[in-house]
Amino acid sequence: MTQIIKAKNLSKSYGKFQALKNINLTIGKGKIVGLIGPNGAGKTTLLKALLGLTAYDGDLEVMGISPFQDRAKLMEDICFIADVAVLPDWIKVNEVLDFVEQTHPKFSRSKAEGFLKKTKLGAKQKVKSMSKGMIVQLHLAIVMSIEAKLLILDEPTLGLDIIYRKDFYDNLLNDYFDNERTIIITTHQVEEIEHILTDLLFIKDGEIVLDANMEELTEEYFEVMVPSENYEDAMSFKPLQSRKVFGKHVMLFKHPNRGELEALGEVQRPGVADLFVAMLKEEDAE
Amino acid sequence: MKALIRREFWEHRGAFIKAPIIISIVLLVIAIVGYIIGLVFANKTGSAEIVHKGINELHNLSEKQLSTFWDVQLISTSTLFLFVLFIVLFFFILGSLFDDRKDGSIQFWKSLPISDSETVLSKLITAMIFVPLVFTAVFAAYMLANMVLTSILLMFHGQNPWTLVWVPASIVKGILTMLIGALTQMLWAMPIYGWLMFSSSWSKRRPFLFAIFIPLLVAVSWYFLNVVTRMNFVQVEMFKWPAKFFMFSALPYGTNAGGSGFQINLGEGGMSLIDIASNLKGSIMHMEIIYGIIFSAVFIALSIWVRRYRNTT
Repeated sequence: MTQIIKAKNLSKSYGKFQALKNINLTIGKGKIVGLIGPNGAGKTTLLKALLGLTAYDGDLEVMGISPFQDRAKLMEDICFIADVAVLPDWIKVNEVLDFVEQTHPKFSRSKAEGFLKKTKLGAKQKVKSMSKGMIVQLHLAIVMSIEAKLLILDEPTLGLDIIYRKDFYDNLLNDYFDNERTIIITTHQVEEIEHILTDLLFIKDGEIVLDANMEELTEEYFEVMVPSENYEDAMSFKPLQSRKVFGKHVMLFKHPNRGELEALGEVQRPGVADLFVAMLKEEDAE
Repeated sequence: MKALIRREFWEHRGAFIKAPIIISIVLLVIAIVGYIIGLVFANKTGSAEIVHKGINELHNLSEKQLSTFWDVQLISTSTLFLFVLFIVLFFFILGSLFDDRKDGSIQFWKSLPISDSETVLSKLITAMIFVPLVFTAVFAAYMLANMVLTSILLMFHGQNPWTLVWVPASIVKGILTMLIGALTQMLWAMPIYGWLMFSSSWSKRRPFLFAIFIPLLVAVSWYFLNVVTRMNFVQVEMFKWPAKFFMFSALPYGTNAGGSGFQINLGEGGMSLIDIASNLKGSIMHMEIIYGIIFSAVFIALSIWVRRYRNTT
């Protein structure tokens, strides 16, 4: 099974508000997908549908299972970290390990204990006494010790300080990810994850506006650092976006004439955030 | 399922385990303080001699009278335990499907491969079986401690604790009585547990108010409907039923108040084991219990449904 997620005409309405509009989507094995979109675009709704936490219209299959019908079974193969620290505050580290060990067939306790050894968390420590960063460390240690096929992260590093944030993705990439697994991440701090993504999904007003492979995308879109003297020339190629950095104009292009533009300045890979903003503008202009 | 039930004990260690232990300690301390005050008072008023004589008279009591004395104590202290048990379970169930929604941890529980029926039923089984068993165990320990304490005090006064304490009082009888009380309580409380569970699952902000005011509203509306349509001012059935279930749940030994329930025969010789067994029969052979269980099943099924399809975050 190479397709982990298959969605066909996936829709979801809350009363009159349509949170998801006929989404068609496939996500394959071994991908790290960034799900990016402004607030209220439908990111969380889409993730909830994938996790079987909400009803929907249309067809959705996650690893061959219909999530809403068979949530408990699906959870053997999916892990999930939500944007808020969701571990109950009365639980102790060893209790949560006991619990997951007894309820999750694919959990390896020794692995989790190995991860926790690298942190300052003690076995008897209660979640109540932990900082937000520590709770996320604990949660991540648990999740990384589960042989899941799909990991869904919804703003996992929100509210964490920079050191924890960096560690979080480093651990994920080095100790967890392999080609058998798939990760879906939503975050507002795109620049932190763009180097690890293989695929990008932009979502806006409940619709997927971009579903692209990172490599292809950075081939198609590129930034050129244009010195002032070439400004007029470069402008004639109609950049999607232009900003000034250290006296040079950084222009974002989606253009077939890459060769000609390379003559006007140094070409570089665009940031996902810039791409995102440019694409939204492009959408609006159409 | 085992993990889910253990989980409830981790979360509610204080209410499930510490609460009965605290009652035991308080009862024992009251006994000791009472004894000391009694002694001091007797000395001051110069009646120490009379007290001493009174204690010396104890061995003249018949075994049956002693047995009755211990049974009265058994019934009154286990009533206290069962009353507290009911209160503990009341609030436990009321929070059981609400607290994790309030603090967001439901997202963690739902991220594990556990079905919502398992979750809800594990909480119900915890309340109906495991917490009463813990209370019973602590009650047995309390009885033992009380008997040891009484023996020590009697030995101070040169009495033989064997005939006064260990022959007439029986821990086995205590455990059985407590278990029967807990079973009676559980059966009578089923509709209350079911309703509380539903309130806990359904309510978005205040499960307690929901659980209390909805039935009250129904009862009051019913009452006024009868007043208006039939000029019936004494139609109080809608108040009587919940009150009855409540009373028997809180004080299960009081079940005979309605007629053929728990008969505590404290005549000569106290309760025999046969009395206890027949009490069990008398307490639970009521049609109301069957209706209560059906009511409960409906609302538990609804709780699972709400938990499954509506309460997702």
